[in-house]
Amino acid sequence: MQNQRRVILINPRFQGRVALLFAAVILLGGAVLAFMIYREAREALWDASVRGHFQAGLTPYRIVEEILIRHLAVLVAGILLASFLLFFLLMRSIGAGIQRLVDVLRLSGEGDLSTPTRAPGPGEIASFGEQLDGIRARTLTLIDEIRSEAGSLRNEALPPEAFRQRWEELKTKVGRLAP
Amino acid sequence: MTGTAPGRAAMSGAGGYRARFLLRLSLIVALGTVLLFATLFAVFSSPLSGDYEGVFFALRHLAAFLFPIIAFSFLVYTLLVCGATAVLCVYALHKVAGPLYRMERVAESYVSGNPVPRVVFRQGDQGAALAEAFNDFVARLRGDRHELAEAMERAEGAFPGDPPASRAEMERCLGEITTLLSRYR
Repeated sequence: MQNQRRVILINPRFQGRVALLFAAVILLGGAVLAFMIYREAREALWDASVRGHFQAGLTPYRIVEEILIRHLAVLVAGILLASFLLFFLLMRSIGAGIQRLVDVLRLSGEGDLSTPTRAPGPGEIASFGEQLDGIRARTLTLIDEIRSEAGSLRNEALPPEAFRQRWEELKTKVGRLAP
Repeated sequence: MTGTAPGRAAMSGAGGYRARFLLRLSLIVALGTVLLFATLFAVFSSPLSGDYEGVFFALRHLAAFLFPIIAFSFLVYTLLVCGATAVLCVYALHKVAGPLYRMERVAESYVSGNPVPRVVFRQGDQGAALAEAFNDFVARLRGDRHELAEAMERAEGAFPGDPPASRAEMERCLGEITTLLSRYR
C-alpha cells in the first residue's frame, strides 16, 4: 500500500475556486427555495387563518406539509442536478487539459518540440503546459547546438588539436541532453 | 495534432473516483435536507391550542414571523452543506492538484539540470497517463543521448594507432549524430 498524502490543501487557488463554485450552487438553490417556501407557506397560513374551520389538534405543519415536502424535494433534486453538471464539466475540462499535455509529451518523444502546448482547462494545467514548453524549448535549443556543432566540425578543416577540443565539448553537450 | 475524446484516456480509471465524489456529495445534500426538514418540522409541529381567536392569532403571528424562521433555517442548512461540500471538494481535488504539483517540481528539476527521477503518482491520483507520457519522453531523450555517446566512444576508439583513419571515423560519426537528431524540430 502506498503512503497517503498528508497535505490535502495543495493548491488553495484551484481547490478553493472549485469549492466556491459548488458552494455558490448550493447557496443559490437554497436562497431560491427558501424564498419560495416562505412565500407559499405564509400564504397558506394566512388562508388557513381566514378559513376559520380549525380542527382539533391542528398544527402549522399540517398546513404547510405539502409545500415543505414538495419544495425540499425540488431543492435536493435541483442542487444535485446542478452539482452533477458542474462536476461533469469540471472533470471534462481537467481531462481535456491533461489529455493535451499527454498528447504533447507523446509528440515531443517523436521529435516535435516546437508546437505550443496551449492546454485547455483550469489555469493550473495551462501553467504546467507553459512549463512543459520551457523544457521542450530548452531541449530543442541544445539539440540545435549539437546539430550545428556536429555539422561545422564535420565540414571545417580543423587542425587535430582544435578538432579534439571541440569534439570533447560536443560530448559534454550530448551528455546534457537529458538530465 | 492527434487527440482523443476530451480526457477519456488521460483520466482513465477515474470512474470510481467520480462515483465516490458524487455519492458523497449526494449524501451531504440529503443529510442536510433531512436536518432542514427536521428543524422546520420541529418549529411547525407545536399544536395550535385555544379557542378560535387564539388559533387565528397564532396563525397570523406565525405568518408574520415566518421570514426569520425560514431564513435562519436555510442559513444554517446552507452553511452546513456548503462547509461539508467545500471540504469534500478540497479533499477530492487533492488527487488532481497533488500530481500537478509533483509534475511542476519535476519540471523545475529538469530545467535546472538536476537528475530527473521516474515520476510515479500515488494510489488514486488522477492523470497517471501524464506521468507515463513524461517518463516516456525523458526515456526517449536518454536513449538518444546514450546512443550518441556510444557512437562517439566507438568512433574515438575505432583506429587507435591511425590518426587519419580515426579522424575520418569521427567525421562519419558526426554525420550519424546529425541524422539521429534530424527528427527533432
